Amino acid sequence: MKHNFHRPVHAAAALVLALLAAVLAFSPASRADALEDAARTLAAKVAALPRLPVSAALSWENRSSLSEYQSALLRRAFLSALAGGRLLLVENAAAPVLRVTLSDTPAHILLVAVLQPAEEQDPVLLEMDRAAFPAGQGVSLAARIERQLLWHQPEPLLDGIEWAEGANPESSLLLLTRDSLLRVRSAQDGGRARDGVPLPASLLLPWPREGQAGFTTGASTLPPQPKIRMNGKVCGVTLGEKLALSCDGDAGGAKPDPLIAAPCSKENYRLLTGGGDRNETDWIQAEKSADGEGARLTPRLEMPGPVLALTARPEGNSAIAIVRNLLTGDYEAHRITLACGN
Amino acid sequence: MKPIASRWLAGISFLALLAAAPAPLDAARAPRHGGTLRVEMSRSASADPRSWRAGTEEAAAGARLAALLFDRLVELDDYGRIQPRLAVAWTHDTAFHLWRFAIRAGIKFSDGTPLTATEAALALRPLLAASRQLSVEGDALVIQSAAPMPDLLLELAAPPYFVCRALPGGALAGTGPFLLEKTPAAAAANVAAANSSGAPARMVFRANPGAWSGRPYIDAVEVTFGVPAQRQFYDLQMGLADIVELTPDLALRAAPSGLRVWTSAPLTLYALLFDESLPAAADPRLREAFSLSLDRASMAGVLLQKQAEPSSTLLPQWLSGYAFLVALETDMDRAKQLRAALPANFAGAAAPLRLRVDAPGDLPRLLADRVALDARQAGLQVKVVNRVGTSSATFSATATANSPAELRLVSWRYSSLLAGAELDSLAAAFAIPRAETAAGANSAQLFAIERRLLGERSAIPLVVLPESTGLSARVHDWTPARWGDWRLADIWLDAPDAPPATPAPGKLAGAQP
Repeated sequence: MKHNFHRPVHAAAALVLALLAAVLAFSPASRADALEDAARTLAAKVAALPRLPVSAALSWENRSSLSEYQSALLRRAFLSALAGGRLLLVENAAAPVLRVTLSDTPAHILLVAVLQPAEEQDPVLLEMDRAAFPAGQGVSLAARIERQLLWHQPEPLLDGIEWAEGANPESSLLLLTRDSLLRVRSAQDGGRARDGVPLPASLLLPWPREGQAGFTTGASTLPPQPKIRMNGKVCGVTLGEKLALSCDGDAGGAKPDPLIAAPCSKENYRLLTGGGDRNETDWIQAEKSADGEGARLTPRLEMPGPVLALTARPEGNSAIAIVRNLLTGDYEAHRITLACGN
Repeated sequence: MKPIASRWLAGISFLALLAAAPAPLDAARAPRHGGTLRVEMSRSASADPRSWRAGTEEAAAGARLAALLFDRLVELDDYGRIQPRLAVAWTHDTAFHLWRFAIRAGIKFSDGTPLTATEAALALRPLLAASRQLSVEGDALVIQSAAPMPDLLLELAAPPYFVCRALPGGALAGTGPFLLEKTPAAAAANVAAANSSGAPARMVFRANPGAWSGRPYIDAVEVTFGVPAQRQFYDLQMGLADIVELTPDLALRAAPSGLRVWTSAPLTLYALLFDESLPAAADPRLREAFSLSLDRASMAGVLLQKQAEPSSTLLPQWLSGYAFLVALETDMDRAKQLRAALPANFAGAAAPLRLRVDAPGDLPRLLADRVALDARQAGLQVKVVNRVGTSSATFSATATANSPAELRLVSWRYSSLLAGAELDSLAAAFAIPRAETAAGANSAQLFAIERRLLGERSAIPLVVLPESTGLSARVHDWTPARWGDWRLADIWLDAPDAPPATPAPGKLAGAQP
C-alpha cells in the first residue's frame, strides 16, 4: 500500500496524478459499493450469530457522521442481504429487537448490531475507514441562481475559471491548486480529459494560506488570456494542446467583482457571498444595482460550505465558485448561472 | 428640523443595512494578515513533548504550544483522512511490521538545519515505545516492530509525536508556522519562576515567514499562563483576550453574556480507582455495591449543570464508537443488598472508606462529595480526603506520598486518536489490573477488553467533560478539531480598530444617508 503526496514544484506532476487517483477513489460509484459491501458483511455476521432467533424487529439508528441518505442506502442493502436468510425481520412489538447503530470514531465508521434482549449475546461490531464514507452533500436549489457541481477533490483548490478554447464549443475548466494549474476538458469519448502544469517556484514560496491567489480574465490582452495572480506575481496561461505559463509581471490592482448576466434581460448582476468564517456554510446572491436606485437581489443560493473564490468567465454568462464542502471536506468547483422565471 | 430628522433616519437605515448587507467575496472572505492573538491559559505548559506525561492537562496544554512550533509526520483531518505533513509518502509491508516514510524535501528547522530522515528519527526515538525500532534507509525513515502496527499513522497523527530538534542548551528547533521569541528553556524557566511568584508568565510566538506550510495570517500569538479562570472570563468580556479557557460554570455564563463559546468532544474523564491492596477495597461485592450506588446522571445533569456527560466506560463515545452499548448502572436496592452481605465493619461509621481526591481543581472535590453522598445511601460510609500537593499533578500512580486510601478520584485527559492505545495508556498510568493489552485490537476486540476491565470494577468511570473555549469576536476561521487541536495557524483577526465582522463600505446599494 502506498500513499504519495509530494507537493513541491519538482513533484507537481506526481500531485496531478495523485489528484486524479483521488478523484477516482472517491467517486460516487466506489462509495456506493463500499456501503453495500459493509451492509452485506454486517448481514453475514448477524446471520452467523449463535442463538439467533427465528424472527426479530429491526431498529436502525444513525449516530454517525454519515448522511441520512447514506444511512438509508446502508439499511436497504442490509435488509436485502438479510432477506432469505436465517433471520426473518418482522414488525412485531413482542419479537426480539435487532438494533443496528451507525457510529463513528476519528478514523472509523462502526456498524454495531445487537440483539435485544442480549443475554450472553455479544454485539457485532464492524469497523471501516471513515475516509471511505465521506458524508453526502445536501443539495439546495434556489429559483433564480443555479449551480452545477463540475469537479471535486480532497486537495485544496484556490480558484477556478471556465474558458472557451478556440472554436471548441465546450469550455475548459481551469483549476488553480497550491502548486499546479489543472485543466479539465471534454474528451472525444464523451468522458473528461485532464492535464496540468506545475506552477513556477516564484509563485510558490511561501504559498499563501489563502485567497490572495486566483484567476483574472486578462481582458487587456488580445486575444483575451486567462491569467493567474499568486504571491504578488502574474502569469499568463497559454491554452492549446499543452498548457503553458509565462510569468513576467507583478500583480497590480484588485481582482474585479464577479459579474454575470441574466439570460433574459442581459443585465449584469454582481455575485455576493455571506462572507462568514471558513467553518460555516455560505450562500451566493446576485445583485443588480443601478445608480441612485435600490439594489435588486435574487434569492440566496445556499452552498455546502464556505465560498473560497468566485470568478466569472469573460463572456459573463457564468462563474465558477470554489467551495469547501463542510460535510465531505472536499474542495468543489461549482458553475454558477442565473435563470429567469420560476 | 425636518432635514435633521431625515438624516437621523437615513443614518439609522445605513447602520442597519451595514449590519445586514451581503459582501462581495474578496472584501469579506479574504483573510486579513496581521495582528496578535492573545491567548490565556490557566496552567503552565511546556512545548517539549519529551516532558509530557500522558493523561494530564499539562500535556494537553503543551501540545497546543507544540503545534505552533513543530509538525508531525502526518495528521488526521476532520473527515478521518490521514494528511501528509513532514512525511509525503509512506509504505508498509503486508503484515504492518515495517513502515517507510519519505520525508518532505527542502524543509529546514528554525535553526537552519535541514530536515532529514535522521533528524526525524532522532526526534521520534524518545517518544515512541521501546518496541519500535527506528532506522534510516536513504531518504526514508523506517519504523519496525515485532508486533504488527496497522494503526501507526493514526498513532503518529496525535500528540506527542512532534518532530523537533534539540539544540545545545535545551532549546528546541521546529518546522512549524511560528517561532518562539524566547528559547523553550528560557520560557520554561520563566513559567516556573512565574508560578513560584504567583505572577502570570508569557510566551510570544512570531509568525514564521519561511514556514513550509505557509506563513500564518496573524503576526504573533501571545500566550499568558497562570491566569485564573474568572480573570480569563473577565478579560474576554473586556476585549483583553481573544482565546480563553472556560470552566464549566463560566461556560454556562458565557453564552447569555453574548460571548462566543466553542465546546470540544468530551476530553477529560473523572473516575474512581480502588486500591485493591487494602482489604476493604479488595472485596468485589463492595466494589459492585459502590458502583451501583452512584447516580452519574445526576452528577452530570445537576451537579455539573449538563456541562458533562455521565460515563459508563473509560473511553468516550467519540473515541471508541461503542460506549453507547454499555448502560449506566444505578441500582440502589441491589447496592443495599450487597452491602448487607458484607461484614458490618466494612465501610462502617467506625472505619469509613477513604476517598482521596487526586485530581486537581474544585470540580473533583464536588464530585467526591457527591460520590460519598450516594454511597452513604447504600450504607457505605465514605470520608473524603484531599491529596497532598494537588497543585500540578493530575494523578498519582502510587500512593506513597500520601496517606493510604481505598478509593481515589482521578482525572484523565484523552490525547490519542487510537482507542486501544488510549486504554493501554490509561490502564498503565493508573495501574489498573488487566490480563491483556488493547493496542492493535479492532473495535470488537477492544469492546470485549474494556468490558472485562469494567467488570472487575477496579476503575469506575463517573463523567466525561468537554473543554469550552471562549473566543473574541475578532477571531475568524476558528476551525479546531473536536478532539481539541486548536489549529491557530489558520485563523485571522479583524483589524484592531475595526468593528468585528463589519462588511467593507462601498458595497452597499440603496443606502444613501
